[in-house]
Amino acid sequence: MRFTCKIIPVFFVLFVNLVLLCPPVFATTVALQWDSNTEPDLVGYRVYYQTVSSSLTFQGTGANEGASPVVIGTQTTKSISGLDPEYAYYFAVTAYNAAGESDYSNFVYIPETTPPVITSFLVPGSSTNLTVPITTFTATDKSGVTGYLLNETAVAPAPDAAGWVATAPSSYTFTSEGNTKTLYAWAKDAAGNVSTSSSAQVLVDATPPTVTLKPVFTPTILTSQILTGTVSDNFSGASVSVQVGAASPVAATVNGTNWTFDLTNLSVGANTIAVTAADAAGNITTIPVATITYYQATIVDAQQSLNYVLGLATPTAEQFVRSDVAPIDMSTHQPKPDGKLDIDDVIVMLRRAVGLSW
Amino acid sequence: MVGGKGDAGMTKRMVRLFPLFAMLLSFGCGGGGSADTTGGPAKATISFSLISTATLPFRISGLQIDGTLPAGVTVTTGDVNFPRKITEGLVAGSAVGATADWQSSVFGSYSAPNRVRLIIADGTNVKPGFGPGEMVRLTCTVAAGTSISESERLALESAITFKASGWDPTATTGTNPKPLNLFLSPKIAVTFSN
Repeated sequence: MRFTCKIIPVFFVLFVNLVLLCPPVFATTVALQWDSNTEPDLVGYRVYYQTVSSSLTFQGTGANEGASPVVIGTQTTKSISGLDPEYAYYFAVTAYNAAGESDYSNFVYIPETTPPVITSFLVPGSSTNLTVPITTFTATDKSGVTGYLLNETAVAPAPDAAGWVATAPSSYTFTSEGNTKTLYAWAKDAAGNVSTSSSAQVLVDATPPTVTLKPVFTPTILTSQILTGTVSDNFSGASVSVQVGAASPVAATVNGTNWTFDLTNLSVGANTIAVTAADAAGNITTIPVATITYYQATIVDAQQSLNYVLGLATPTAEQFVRSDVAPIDMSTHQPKPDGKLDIDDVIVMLRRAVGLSW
Repeated sequence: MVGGKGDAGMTKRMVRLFPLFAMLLSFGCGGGGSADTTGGPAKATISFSLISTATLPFRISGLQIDGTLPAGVTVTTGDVNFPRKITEGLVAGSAVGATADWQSSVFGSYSAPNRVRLIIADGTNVKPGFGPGEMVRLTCTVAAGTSISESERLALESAITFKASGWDPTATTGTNPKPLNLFLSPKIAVTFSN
């Protein structure tokens, strides 16, 4: 028995022959045609249909003409309507008479034409690694999603292109860093329908920021000083935080590639200063800890300075550094040691010893 | 010599003091450019003053004086810890405030040959420096038979320098303390006693 089908879309009617070149278009009605049975006792035909699988027997349901098989008379054409275009269909016809039913005709396969739909695609907004984890990648298709693909182009991939995988990938590896990398997700079904893409942008920055700290004033008789340094990042800029001892880190002020931090309330003794820079992707750079030793200037320090200036005592190298506090830079309120001990150092030391501020 | 601290201009402004030692000797002998204390050891009180030549932009916070005493003129030293520290005869001048508190902020040292360094510094937090006037008085011992020629007096005079600095309370830029030598002129007065 020869068997052809006609696919009747909403507004179109298409005829195909038995070899079945039915184009994969949206179709809800299929017109079938077959060669007539010439036996004289023919009673009629039964049209069988089924979705998804070609396994016998065809037991489809949902057509307006009823569940499979649809029993008709001796006519050799039949339209089956009310089909779901999101499924592929298999059709076959048998002839029957009072004694029984013939074998199945050849099968006609009508592929489904609806591509999968990506229901969720999420990636982190930034990554410190070229390999970016995929937060979510899901797609649906009534006849099943058979392939997933991630790439960096908006052009839909061919269903037989390289890179399709059977399960949703859990990560994607970029070949380079970038401030706004766009990642496209695709899905396909068994019929080769490729979904429209879902995309997400990600900052891929595997390079930590660079940060410097200019030399600190230490030892110092001041409880405060302004820390400065530089910071830079390849893409997004970076923030800088300063942690004094075990206290919580505090953000520094970043202006371009320079940062400043108003350090206050130094404790007597050694104060560890940890400077950390972080970029938008989360890369962190910590530079070696600096130590600022603060000592309270007392009248003893002032007296020692007097002795040094008078030539009554010779300071050690450390004592010299501690005593060489003048002049004071009034814009930073920090000592600008000039390598000499004289009356100006005594003035400064006495002011601190009696509690005067700058 | 007291150098200008980090300031070449300051160094240039080091002022040669008035010939205090010449005056000292003149007072002692009644003139003639030399002193003669043949009558036996005497005391000489040297008063060092700074006279303003223009209105000071801010008050003096500290003063450092370096000079050389004439031969035969000595000061008392002998601190237990600092043998060269001047231990007697050194007091703050009237412009600084001759109180016990102020005395503690006047210090001096002596080193061979006859070099003296005097320091007066604002040591309180209630009086922001001091104005021009008498800064310090140093009482010395004048040995019997001491005399000095005019050329020696001039040499001593030229060797004396001072550096006056003040804290500018209005400064928000630049540095502190600032030099004040430009606004000040030194003056020496000497009195003798037995």
